Amino acid sequence: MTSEVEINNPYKNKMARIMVVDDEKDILRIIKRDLEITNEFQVEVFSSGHDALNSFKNHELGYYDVIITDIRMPRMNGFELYRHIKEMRPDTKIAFITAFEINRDEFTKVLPSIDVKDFIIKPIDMNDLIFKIKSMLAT
Amino acid sequence: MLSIVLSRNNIFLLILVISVGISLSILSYHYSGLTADQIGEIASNDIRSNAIIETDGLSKTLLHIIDPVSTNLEILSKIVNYSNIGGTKIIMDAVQNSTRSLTEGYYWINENGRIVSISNVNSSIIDSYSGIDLSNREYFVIPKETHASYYSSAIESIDKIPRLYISFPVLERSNGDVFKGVIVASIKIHELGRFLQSELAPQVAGNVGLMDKNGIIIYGSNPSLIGKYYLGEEFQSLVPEEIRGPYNSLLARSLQGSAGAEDLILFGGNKTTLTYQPVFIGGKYLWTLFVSSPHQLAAEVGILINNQKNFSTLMILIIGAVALGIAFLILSWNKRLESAVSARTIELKDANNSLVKYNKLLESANEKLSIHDKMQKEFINIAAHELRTPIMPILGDAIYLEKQFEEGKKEVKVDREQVSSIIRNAKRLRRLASDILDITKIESQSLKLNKERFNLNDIILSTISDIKAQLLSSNPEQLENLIIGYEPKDVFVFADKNRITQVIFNLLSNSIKFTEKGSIDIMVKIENDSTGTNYVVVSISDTGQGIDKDILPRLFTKFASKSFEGTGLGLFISKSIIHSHGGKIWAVNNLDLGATFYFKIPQQ
Repeated sequence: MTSEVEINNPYKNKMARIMVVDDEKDILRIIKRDLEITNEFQVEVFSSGHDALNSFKNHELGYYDVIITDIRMPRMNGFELYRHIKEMRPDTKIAFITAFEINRDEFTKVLPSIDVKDFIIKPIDMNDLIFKIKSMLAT
Repeated sequence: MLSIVLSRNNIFLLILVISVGISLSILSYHYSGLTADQIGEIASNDIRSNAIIETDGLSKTLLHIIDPVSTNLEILSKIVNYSNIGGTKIIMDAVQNSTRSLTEGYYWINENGRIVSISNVNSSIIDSYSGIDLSNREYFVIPKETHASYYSSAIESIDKIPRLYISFPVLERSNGDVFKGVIVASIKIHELGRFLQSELAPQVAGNVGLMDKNGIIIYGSNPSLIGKYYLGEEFQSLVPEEIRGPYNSLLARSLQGSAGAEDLILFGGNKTTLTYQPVFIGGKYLWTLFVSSPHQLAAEVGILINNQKNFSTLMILIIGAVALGIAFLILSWNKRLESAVSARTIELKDANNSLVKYNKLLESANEKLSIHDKMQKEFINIAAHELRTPIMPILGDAIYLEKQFEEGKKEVKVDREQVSSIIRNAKRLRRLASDILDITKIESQSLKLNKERFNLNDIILSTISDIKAQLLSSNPEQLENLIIGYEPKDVFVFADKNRITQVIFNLLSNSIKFTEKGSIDIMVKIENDSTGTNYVVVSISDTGQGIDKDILPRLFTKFASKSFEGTGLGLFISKSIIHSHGGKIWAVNNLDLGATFYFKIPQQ
């Protein structure tokens, strides 16, 4: 599976830049280390929605290839960050990670305005996360 | 008391019944009145015509009984023979016998006015009368003068008995009508009256009167008036003042020799028909016969009809009353039905209300269930979040390390951060596990306290140092910007040391969570209340963002958290611990910045 994705990946020779947002610093550390160890991703981590949004604004279009954000965060939560980013760059690829006991249907029902393509439940199996990011990059 | 509330329909029904009743009564009364008047009139007419016929008949009867007397007298006057007194007396006796019902006797009086003979009387008695001179009597004088028969008026004799005398002259025709005496018949007026009265048809029910052509009363129901002139004082005094005029003029008219019948209102307002009929004897008008017919019958018929009218009116009234009663019965029955229906309606309403109430209870039960359900779900969600979050860094580091072994390394380098992270997150899991356990204990009311005497100062200092160590590991930057102020002071308290430590830890970590930078001040003081109990009051005041005003009212309930980490169970557990110590926990927002949490527990 992984090899197929790699073959079709137009970014194969270029490291994809991934933004990871989570208020849990231990989680940020783990995700950054585990993604970067593959030498396929360049990871920038933010522990709040505000910091992440500022960084997004301060960079040119397409600087971040994929954004992965936690939902439950103090002050600006993952949905708010999603809306702000989508307002500026509707085509930005964003995935949610959450520790909530929630499935995609319930999610869509509660927040129909948010088009949730990718939805990752914590604790994350790093192999799954890498696969998810690669498939997002491929579309 | 039966009270009837009249509905529109009921009032209509009542009015209908009453109006029908009233119209029937009026109609019946009117009709009865009409009939009474008509029948009265018919009866009066009947009485009047009866009286006329009766009077006519009576006058004929009178003639019929007087005529034989006249005839007898005429015959006797022609056959008397002074030479044969005895033979004549036999004839006189026979004549008297033929008319004895009326006549008292026949008298033969000679030209000198001396009695010659008397019928049915023996000669010795006749002899005793022979000395009486009757030559001045009208029944002697007038025939002597006129050579014609004489009919007297009522004459009262010595024996006070009114009599009527009829006399015929005895004339000797051979010698050019020489007066030779008279033949007289005496008639007791009472007998005549009785006879006339008995001849009167009973339905006339009236009285008979007889008056001569000069207005002298020959016979009347009042015997004292016999022989009196009708315009005389005795008679007039008996005629009521108010009818005197018409009565007298009627009598005056009757004396002109004509017949008639007139209605008079006599005594006591009774109508009476007074019929008068002239009586001609020997072709001459002599008397007038009166028959007074009181309209007693007509009045009685009127009374009868009036009674009938009253009776029928009464009947109508009774019928009306019965109808009214029935109407009321129906109405009250309706009313009772209505009240029964309304009672049933009320019962149904009550039943419905209790159903509604029951439904509401069910609803609220459902709501409670759904709230409970929601809370349960929320708890599961938070628990899931809190359980999953620390697992990820632990597992992440552990897998990372294991991978290095898999690459053939004998030794793997582990840095401080990895170990700290594992410990920190494992502790977090432990804390969550103990929170959930506490909640279970609180909810099953099996939270037990192990009280001992300890120095509050010790646990506050150790909690501060624990918190600082934790913060140094998780967020050293915040620690740098945060001043935790506390003036150490020995305060001994008898309580569950671990539980109070848990409360202080919860409150302090709560303050730190919401205070990015600034200061947190912990203060302890002793208070005593009116009962003399000493309380230890601990306050933890921060300069953070303060308590959200939506959260404030339910701050100490489960899951009432605005935090994005933690279970939202800390304050609930703290409250339960303080309450089980017989204390109190509360929080206020500071006027300037942040919030202050207080708890107080009895010192002993």
